[in-house]
Amino acid sequence: MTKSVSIFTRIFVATAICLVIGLGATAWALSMVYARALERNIDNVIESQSDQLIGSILDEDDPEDWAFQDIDPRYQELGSGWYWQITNIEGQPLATSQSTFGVDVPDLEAPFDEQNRRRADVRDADGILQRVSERKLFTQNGNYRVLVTANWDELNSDVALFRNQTILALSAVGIVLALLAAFIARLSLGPMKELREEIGRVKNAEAEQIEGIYPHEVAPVKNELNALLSTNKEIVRQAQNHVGNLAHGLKTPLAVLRNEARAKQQIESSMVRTQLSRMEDIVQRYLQRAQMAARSQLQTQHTPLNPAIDLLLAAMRKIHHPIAYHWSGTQTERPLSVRMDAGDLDEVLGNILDNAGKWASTEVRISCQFTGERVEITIEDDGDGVPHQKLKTIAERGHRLDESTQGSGLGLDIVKELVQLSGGQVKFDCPKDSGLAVCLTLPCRLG
Amino acid sequence: MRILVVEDDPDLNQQLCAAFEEAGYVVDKAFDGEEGHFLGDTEPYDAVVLDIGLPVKDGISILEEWRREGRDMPVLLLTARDRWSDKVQGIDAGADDYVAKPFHMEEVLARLRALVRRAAGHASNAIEIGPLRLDIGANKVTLDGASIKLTSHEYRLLSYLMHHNGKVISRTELTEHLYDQDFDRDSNTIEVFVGRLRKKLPDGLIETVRGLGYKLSAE
Repeated sequence: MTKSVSIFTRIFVATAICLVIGLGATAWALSMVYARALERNIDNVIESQSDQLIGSILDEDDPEDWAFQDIDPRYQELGSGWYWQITNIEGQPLATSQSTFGVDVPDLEAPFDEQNRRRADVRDADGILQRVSERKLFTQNGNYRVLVTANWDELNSDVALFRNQTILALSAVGIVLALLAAFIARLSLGPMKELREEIGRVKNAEAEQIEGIYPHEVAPVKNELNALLSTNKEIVRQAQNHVGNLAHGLKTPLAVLRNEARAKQQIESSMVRTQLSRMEDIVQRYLQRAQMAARSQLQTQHTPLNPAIDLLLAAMRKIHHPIAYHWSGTQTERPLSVRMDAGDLDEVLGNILDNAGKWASTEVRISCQFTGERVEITIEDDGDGVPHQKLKTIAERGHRLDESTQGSGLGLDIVKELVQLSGGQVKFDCPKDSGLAVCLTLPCRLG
Repeated sequence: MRILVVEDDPDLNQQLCAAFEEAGYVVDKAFDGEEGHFLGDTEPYDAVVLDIGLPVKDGISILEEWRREGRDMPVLLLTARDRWSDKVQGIDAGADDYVAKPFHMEEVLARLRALVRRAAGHASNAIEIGPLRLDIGANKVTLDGASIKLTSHEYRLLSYLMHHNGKVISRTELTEHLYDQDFDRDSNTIEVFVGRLRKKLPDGLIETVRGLGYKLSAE
């Protein structure tokens, strides 16, 4: 599957295309309007200059007395492309503008119309494109042709200059608008970004539900996702309950079978016992797996440490009477909470404290050190300890250091898995060559 | 020693009862929470083995009610739910120990013995009174190091007296703790067994406190 283009890119590209088309069309339209206006202006100049010249001819009978005025100063500028010329009807010049000196005024080939006028755009000998207007004039003193030109190239270059400047200005406007569009797109997509981050938090098990206030376009998505998450969680919880119930339900018949096999000390019952042990192991393993799966879903809960240890110690003092458990609390200003589900914390501490109680001679000491983001809990017993070479294998699944005591050998294995799942560490040590010290490092917070 | 077993699975109940009887206990049984609660509330037991998942009324509720009503006999919980949070909940409700299913019968027996012993105020598994020594784990009584042959009834009687040595135990108490609920309380079997025991033990070890009962004393 190809990667879908982001909404931001879509909005930005679409806006950019619209801006290019819109502003391009604006630049073209403005240039056209400007060109038309210039054209009209030039035509007016030509007409006015013609009228001026004709007026002068009509004022004076003798060509020697003709006095001309230039409408535009460019008619006095040599080679400006702005010329006028009065000829007799045969075309012999009688008078010219100052600018016409040494210049061949273009000839028109088009016929005169009914009003004795003709006009055309013609390129002269110097290569200048000119608009040429010529009128025939019939007077009592003689017949004349009055020709006036205007530099059309000037108009074209004016229009080009205008167009360039317009494009430049509109480009600047376009860039500003595009940036504005990007800003608006970012602003509009802000809630989507927040939603994406929230989903990330749920995925990383930092949150249970999508939090935050969203605009009404996005809020339904958030609500639907939260409903989906809740449903999913409920389904998983139910599935785990079923697995748990199945496993727990099997335990009573297993107990019955085991005791029956024990009661009948026949040869075949050893096979029965082996199979029973296997079944028990399977039940235990899958029960744990279901519990582990449930745990890996969410590691956001924090559980206060002091009450958990206090409750466990009350139980331990009963179970392992007369072993003394010494614990002076977390010694922090505010209650210390460990990033672990309450049941898991009980499981971790319960297993370690129970082990310590089993092996202690007289006492178990629990101490704790808070280091800002982590808490180090040390549980030491005064029993015989564990040989150093066996310390590494102590928490392996099913590994039992002493077969004479009750237990499946799964306790410390569970401790290790749970602690690792919460992002903590567990270490075993025999600091004084007697008694085992279990050191737990767990992520925590105050309050 | 009289034990109450509250377990709804008939096979497991039967196995537990058989194992306890074999170990020298007198056993009453109940198959649901209501019956179990009633028996624990009305009969004097030396210990109770209580399943948590019971029909009619669950084990934890029964235990809480007993403790509220001042019944302080040691209670050993049987539970299929072996997470520490479940165990702590049970012990917090008043249980003295727990055994997770499926269990080894020896373990249940060992824990039960320890509970009974602790409740009577003995720290070790052997109780010594003068030349007499009771090995609770082995169900054996020795006199000056030599084993004494005892019938199961004699053993139960002596074991109860040794667990509560120094105290005057009434005939009624002995009857209540040495026989199950169906026993005819008016019969004079206690006197008969006390007489038999006295013949096997040194003179004066079992004292008769007139009008009150019997007392085991090494003095």
